Amino acid sequence: MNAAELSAILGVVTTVAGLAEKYGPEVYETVKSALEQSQSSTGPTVDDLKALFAKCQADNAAIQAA
Amino acid sequence: MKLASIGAYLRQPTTLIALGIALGTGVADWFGALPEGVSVGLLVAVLPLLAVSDTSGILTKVSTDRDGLAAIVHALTTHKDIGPAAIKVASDTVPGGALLAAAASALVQQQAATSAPATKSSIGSGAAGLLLLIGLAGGLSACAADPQAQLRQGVYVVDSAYHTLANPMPDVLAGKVPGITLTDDQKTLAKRSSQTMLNEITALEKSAEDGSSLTQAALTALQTDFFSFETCWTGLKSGTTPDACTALAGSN
Repeated sequence: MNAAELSAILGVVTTVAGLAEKYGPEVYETVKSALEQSQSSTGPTVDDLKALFAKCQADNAAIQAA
Repeated sequence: MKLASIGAYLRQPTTLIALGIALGTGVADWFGALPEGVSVGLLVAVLPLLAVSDTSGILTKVSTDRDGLAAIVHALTTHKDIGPAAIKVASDTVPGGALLAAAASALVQQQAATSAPATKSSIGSGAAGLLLLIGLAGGLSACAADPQAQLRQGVYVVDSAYHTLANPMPDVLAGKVPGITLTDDQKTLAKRSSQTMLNEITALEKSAEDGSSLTQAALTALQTDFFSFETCWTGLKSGTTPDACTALAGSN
């Protein structure tokens, strides 16, 4: 993970920090997972990407429905 | 610090004691229950305990810079923004000045955008998240050897960032977050920008599933658009409509 990628996550975390009480655990797990995958010598598997992609799809669906 | 040892690190008595004192000092500062000089002294004493397993030396550097600590304590005590002195200390001690600049910028933007009660909580939780990630950042260096695996790592990070940013958006769009009110036009821009991001993520997801067709150019484009998305969303929440919004929404 380079500085730009980390700053993307870091910027997001601080941006949503005011909602940390409700979303904190999910943020924590997401950031932790991203950091772990970045440390991995093999990188995320396609299945790992699929699982995360499903969350992104759900997020966007909720946004479009809001 | 290795990620695998974070759990053990957090369970160490020295870590728990130091975290307890540091957090307690922060709360006491917030409510003006401790003189600033005493708070700085406490932090100088306990921060090295947190740095026992921190091979990057970041916490030790921070704890030995009294001016920076004093600035942070003063900011907490007076409920003001984290000032330039404190930001400079963090920038000087952590690799990647842009990283801290982005975080500091986001904090300032958030403080300006939220109401007074929300601002109080946002400073504390934001600073806590900042410190946690600064600690983690010291251990970031490894990467996969295979080029496609490296690209998957990049996609995974951007997807994670999108998920983190998008997850609370429905509540904000629905007006459930105090202090943030969006117009109908702004809501439309936010929705279209999100759809643009998802379209791009979908394209890279399909490339990853193909096994060997992820490209650095596509990943870079995704990263660039994500930063625009973040800029757009941050601006919308603070009552402005950045150009990044129309650019992203227009490409959808």
